[in-house]
Amino acid sequence: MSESSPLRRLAPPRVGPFREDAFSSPLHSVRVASILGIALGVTFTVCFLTGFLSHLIQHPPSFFDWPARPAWLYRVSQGVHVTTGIASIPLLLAKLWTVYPRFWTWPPLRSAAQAIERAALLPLVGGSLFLLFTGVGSIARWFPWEFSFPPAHYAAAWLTIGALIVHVGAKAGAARLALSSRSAEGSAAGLADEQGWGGLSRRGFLGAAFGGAAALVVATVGQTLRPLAAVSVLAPRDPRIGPQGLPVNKTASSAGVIDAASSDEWRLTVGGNVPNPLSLTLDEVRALPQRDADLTIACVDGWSAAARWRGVPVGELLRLAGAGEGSTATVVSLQRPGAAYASSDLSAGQIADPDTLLALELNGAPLHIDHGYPVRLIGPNRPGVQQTKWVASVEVS
Amino acid sequence: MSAELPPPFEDAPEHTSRYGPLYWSALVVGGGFMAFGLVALFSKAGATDPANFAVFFVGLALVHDLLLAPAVIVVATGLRRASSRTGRELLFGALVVSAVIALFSVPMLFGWGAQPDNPSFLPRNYAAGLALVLAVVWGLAAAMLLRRRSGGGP
Repeated sequence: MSESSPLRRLAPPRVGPFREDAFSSPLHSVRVASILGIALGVTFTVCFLTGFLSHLIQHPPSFFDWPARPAWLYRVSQGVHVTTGIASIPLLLAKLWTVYPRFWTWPPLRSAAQAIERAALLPLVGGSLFLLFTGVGSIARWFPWEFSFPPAHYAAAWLTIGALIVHVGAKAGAARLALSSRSAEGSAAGLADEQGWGGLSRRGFLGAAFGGAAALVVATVGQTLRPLAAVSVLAPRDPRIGPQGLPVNKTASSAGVIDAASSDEWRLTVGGNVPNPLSLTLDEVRALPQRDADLTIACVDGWSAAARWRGVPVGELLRLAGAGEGSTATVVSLQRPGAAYASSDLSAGQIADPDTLLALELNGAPLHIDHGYPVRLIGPNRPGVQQTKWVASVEVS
Repeated sequence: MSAELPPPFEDAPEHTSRYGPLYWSALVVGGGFMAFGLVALFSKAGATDPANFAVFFVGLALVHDLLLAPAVIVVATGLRRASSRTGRELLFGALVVSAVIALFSVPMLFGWGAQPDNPSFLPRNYAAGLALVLAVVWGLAAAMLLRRRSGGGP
């Protein structure tokens, strides 16, 4: 704002996008930007909170104890995370289109406060595009980048939300004014101006942005909302399709466990801090008391599918081994140690839940090897990556 | 043509940012979030690969601002000249929605992440799926056009 800014005195280059009438469409409006901005503020906040929750569940700090109940909570929160992210794509592109002339604003810098605000647009715009691009790539398992998706997506989320907070602080007043009935754009004269333009009206533009978001939601949400599975023709998953009617994330061959999992030498061991360590053959595990549970595989990728499982409650197994009340445990797979998601931790509360099973059967038949034969972990309210397959041992601590 | 229009984002008071207490407190809080993001990025540099991270973080913004947005302007300007006034709005609306849906479908359509040993991943015919969604979008646009022509709607 300051007249003393040296850039203020620079004559603007009156060419191309710097021309005063370069962007004549009435869609480049503060009112439209405010409506889209509020929508994106909501969707990005929802994505941030649900994403942070998923991060806490997978990397729990000492104060965080993720409960086994309600069983549907992770399924819903991660489904909301992915679906809301997908819905944000048309909204973000529309928002960027609306404010695009600002990219060419002249003079580029006016004051320290405005310079900081503009600098924060890089983490805002770059971060938003990064989050949606890597998110879609990840659910499509297309990784055209070198970094590891979860920690990079996590870091980008903090950068983006921080920049969003700065942006809201800078724009809240302008947005409130633009949305008020006193604003020039909301007046009859403003609407008349718009009608003289003869392109996409503001109402039509917003309709396309929100309609596109709705279309993408319907075209994908059936991967977690089974009744819509038939119409979600663009979803990377179909909860009805897979061995034994259930989708698979990691196959036995890609995990390199086919030989070990189908070997007669396979044993389930329970060790660690227990007075009576166990080493059981598959027949011995089958001979233990079994329990049925209807539980959902809820993948971090946003799909989920329910099924009926039958197996031995982990709590019962630990009692057989003499584990103390309140013990925690790590369930370890046959996968190469150190491989991603080759083991997962169970809290005392999760072990105490009778539906936390070492499952032998799925929908009335022995587990398909891609579902974790001979034995897999399945428990209520856990991310799919923590439902360890091809279990070899349970380490009690 | 733009002479009668108010210049977009003019420096009228209602269009400018306010650098009052709200802004400066948002800067402190948001700055804290961003600092935490940088710590998350660099404390796990082996996994987050900050150089490659930056390529995508900055690159996607540049691709949008210097390629995608100008391309949309060129296409829209051309179509505006080529299309008749009637139905132009529905044409543009349907095009915008179609383009975004098609953009989203690209990785599924080409199956770049397909796993040959896992038929439960990308189990659908995504070309047919995209065609179906686009048919619905253009069908809706056509229905709205007919309704407008018959004077039945706004």
